[in-house]
Amino acid sequence: MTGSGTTQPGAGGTGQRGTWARIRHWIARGLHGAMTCEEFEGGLVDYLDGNLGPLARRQIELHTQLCPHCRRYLQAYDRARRLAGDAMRDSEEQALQAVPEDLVQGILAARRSESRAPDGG
Amino acid sequence: MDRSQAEGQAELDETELVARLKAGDERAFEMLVRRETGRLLAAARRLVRDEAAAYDCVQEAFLSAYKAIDGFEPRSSVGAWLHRITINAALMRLRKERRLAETSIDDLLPSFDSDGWRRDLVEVPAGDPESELERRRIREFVRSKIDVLPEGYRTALVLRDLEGWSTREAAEALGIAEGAMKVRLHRARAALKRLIEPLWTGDVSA
Repeated sequence: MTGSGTTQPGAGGTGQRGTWARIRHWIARGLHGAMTCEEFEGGLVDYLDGNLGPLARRQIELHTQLCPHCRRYLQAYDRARRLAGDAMRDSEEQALQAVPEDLVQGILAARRSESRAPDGG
Repeated sequence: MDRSQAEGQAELDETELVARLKAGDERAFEMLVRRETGRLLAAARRLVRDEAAAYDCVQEAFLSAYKAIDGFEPRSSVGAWLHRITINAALMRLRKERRLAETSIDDLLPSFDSDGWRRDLVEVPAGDPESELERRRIREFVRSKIDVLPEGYRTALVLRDLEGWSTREAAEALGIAEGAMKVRLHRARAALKRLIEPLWTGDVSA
């Protein structure tokens, strides 16, 4: 098992990148100017916003093809972003079900005292 | 009876509502308050956390809207307009209290070796669960993790991934540069990703 240069990413489970993945990546970097994981990470916000030019976009996509770690990372990151939106929207639904009457009355009272304020003339 | 009269008007259309608000119609105002308060309160709570402060933001928003209704132009709905005012009131409060300063969340962020390779292995997220119960449990878990994020990061998530503001709008509202806003948003998402990973490693006890 050892020394076979396994191509399965993460098979070792200790954060070691597969030798093959590394080699493939270096070749791609030489040939196409492929980015590192760190550069990939830095481009994610713009990538997901659709704000990258065609070249930068292609580099991100090339990196996800070459690097299984970043491919998974992107999946997980995107998922986290969507789950965050869902979770927060859900709290809004809960709030709609119970509108506090004391707040409603407070707002109505504030509006009444505001309209009595003599700034209109 | 006032209340049921107000409810009876629940179907006022938007143009009519605006016209009545501009005319100073108290019932139309009450109808608007009853219709929008829940949503606005939820928006304020997500930012300021403190219940009394969230109440204040909503009340402030209605009062500002009341004073500014003459200048309201129906490019958006009154609800959307109020929502915006509420968010701004909440952000103003956070800025005043200087609660938006960037705190370190480095241990939640991915690390790279000196060649720029990712150090941590990433788990593949599981698919969406089928049962509503399970989905609700996930939403609660995610919410509890969002709550762990420092204010500045949570605010970035709320403005971008919930409210759908652009980077520029959010940066302006927070008084920071666009680049800094992007970094903050990215860190917030990356940290949240790390915090909710138990969801797909199956290790959720919360």
